[in-house]
Amino acid sequence: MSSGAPDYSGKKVDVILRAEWEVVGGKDKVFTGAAGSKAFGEYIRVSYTVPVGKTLYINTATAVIVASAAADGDLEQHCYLEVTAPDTATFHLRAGGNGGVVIPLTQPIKVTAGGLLTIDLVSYANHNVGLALSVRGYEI
Amino acid sequence: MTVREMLRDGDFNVMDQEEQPDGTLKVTLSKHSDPKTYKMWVRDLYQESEVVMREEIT
Repeated sequence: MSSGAPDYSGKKVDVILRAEWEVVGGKDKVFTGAAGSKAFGEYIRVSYTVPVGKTLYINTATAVIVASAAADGDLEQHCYLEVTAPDTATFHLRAGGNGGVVIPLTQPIKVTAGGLLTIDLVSYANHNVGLALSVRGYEI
Repeated sequence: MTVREMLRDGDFNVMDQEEQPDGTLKVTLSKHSDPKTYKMWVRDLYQESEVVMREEIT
């Protein structure tokens, strides 16, 4: 159109919530990892290379750290979560927590095709712990 | 399609990775549209030396 405005004539246009669009327009992705007993400084890692022609958006990250032994259950359980992409030298998220952490991202982490997403959860507890992580997003 | 190819193509909704006592990494993939679970045991994932030890579909 000469006015520069979009021409919607004869076309169907829907206005939907972003969360709905992520399911309709993209493929939702969940990355998880867990381990039963890790010592101080040990970690779990989940990695994924985004396929050619796709883009991955990460919008939520969660981590859990709990004592492996009942006797340690009341102690502090410190952990460190980091998300890197497109390689292990580019940090997008670094967070610490005691017992775990939940991080909803208002601006998603974008990983382009060929980029290696790496999610590490490190124990900084002075006793053995169980670790679990879950990172959610969508790929289009 | 192999489980490794599914991973490479991003043909999954949920992926779990779990270290095994023998040093391999168990990768489990699942899709909303498919009741099956796709597993593979791999060494050195995403490295040049990557080797898939075995795959299992249940």
